[in-house]
Amino acid sequence: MLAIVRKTLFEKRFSLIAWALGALFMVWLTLIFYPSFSQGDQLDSLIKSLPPQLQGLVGNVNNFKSIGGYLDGVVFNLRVPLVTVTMAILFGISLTAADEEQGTLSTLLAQPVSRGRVLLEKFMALTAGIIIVHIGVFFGLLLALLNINYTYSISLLLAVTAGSLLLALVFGTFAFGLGIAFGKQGLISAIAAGVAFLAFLVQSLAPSVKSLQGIQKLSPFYYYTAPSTASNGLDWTYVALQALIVAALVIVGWALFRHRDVEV
Amino acid sequence: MLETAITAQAITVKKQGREILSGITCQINAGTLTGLIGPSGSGKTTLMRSIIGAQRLSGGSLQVAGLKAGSKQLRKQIGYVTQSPAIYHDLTVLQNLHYFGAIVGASKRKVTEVLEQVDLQSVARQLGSTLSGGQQARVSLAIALLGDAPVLVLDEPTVGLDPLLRRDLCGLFTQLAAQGRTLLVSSHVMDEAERCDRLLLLRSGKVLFSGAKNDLLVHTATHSVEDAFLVLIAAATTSAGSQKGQN
Repeated sequence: MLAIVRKTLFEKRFSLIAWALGALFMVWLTLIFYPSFSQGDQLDSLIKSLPPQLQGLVGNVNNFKSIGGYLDGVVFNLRVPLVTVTMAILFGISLTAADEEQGTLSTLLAQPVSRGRVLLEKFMALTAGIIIVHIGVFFGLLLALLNINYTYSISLLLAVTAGSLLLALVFGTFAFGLGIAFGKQGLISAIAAGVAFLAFLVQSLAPSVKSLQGIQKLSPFYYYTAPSTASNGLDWTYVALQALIVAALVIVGWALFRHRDVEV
Repeated sequence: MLETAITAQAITVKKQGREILSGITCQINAGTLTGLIGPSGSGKTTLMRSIIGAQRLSGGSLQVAGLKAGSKQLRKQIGYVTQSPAIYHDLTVLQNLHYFGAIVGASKRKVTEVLEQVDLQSVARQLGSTLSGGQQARVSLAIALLGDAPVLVLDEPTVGLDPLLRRDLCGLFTQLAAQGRTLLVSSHVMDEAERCDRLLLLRSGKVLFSGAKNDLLVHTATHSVEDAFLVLIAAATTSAGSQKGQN
């Protein structure tokens, strides 16, 4: 049962543990500075000195005073997605295009196993890998709160972690779908990273650049940051929408993979 | 009369407008060791990929064990070793075999058995990345043997191996054929052909000869497959030249 999932997670165990520990440390390191940010005014003056377009990238500094606002605006606005989305894209590519270029996908497809099963189990492994890294994120939050002697709603911490997980899954599945459909590692890495970067820029600059506001909702980051999850919890409409995007990417990837001439 | 394992009827494969296989017609009997011999670029890999169902045909028909090549029911019937052996480098030999064993439903005993068959016990706990090319090729072969598939399609499985090991593996192939399995083993080295009972000679996507090795030698009045191959090429060239002349 689930031999491909188990093998993938076993094979990638060191890399996944490293990503999870890295995410834990990064979250912890960012959150332990919350007390000094919430009590000092230096950040306000620093951000107000920036051009309005760049202020949009940082967010509303007044929100950082509350722990929920700090989590949304500082911890989860750029830092966590930078780590988790990068990991998800790399992992998605390693399971598909990299696997094909190394020839191991060919060895797998030469076995009595359907392409549908290969795709499904690899997608399950991708999801499991992203969950493992987010376990690191969640424990980073808990550890930092313990260090700075603050308490916060566990359900909101879980919600904001789940929000990040969904965003990473969207981009991871995008890279995974491209990889399984076309199998060109270098090209797909560039496309997936480029799309993620553009999506982040659009969402960050849209508040201060009017021309971007029309396309803001095309960016997955909109559905991630707009609900201010650490303060308000998950927006279930957006969760459903992101889940639909993931499902659509898997289905399109499968449709293209089914009849593709993988070099076996 | 021998049962037919693979039947190809005028199969044609085109890739990017180029004809890779041009009307291949041949039969491979069950329980035989057939050498698929031809120079690089003759279409050996494309023919093998067509047999395992990974290559779309542009024309003709291809049947394996009475079923259309690529049929779902054939998945467990065919074991395949790719031309460039690819195994997981971050897993040990044993872990690679256990993984593929889990996919094909092979027991732990079967894993140990194939490990012995390809003589890899001494490196069983070594990571794939530390193996030589020849050892990786043997792991690939072991993977193909795990499922007990009645038809084995092996694309240049002995490339890069030392002569002693090549001889041992050829012995293993003969033994598997004697047990009733059908083996199609490709090679661009004529020496390999000497070890096969039956031959399928390809050149430029066309069959030069298909049948028993002894028949080939008698038919061409030669003593080695290499000489026979040269005679057949000369005959084919002369025939093509005279056809052009007539046109």
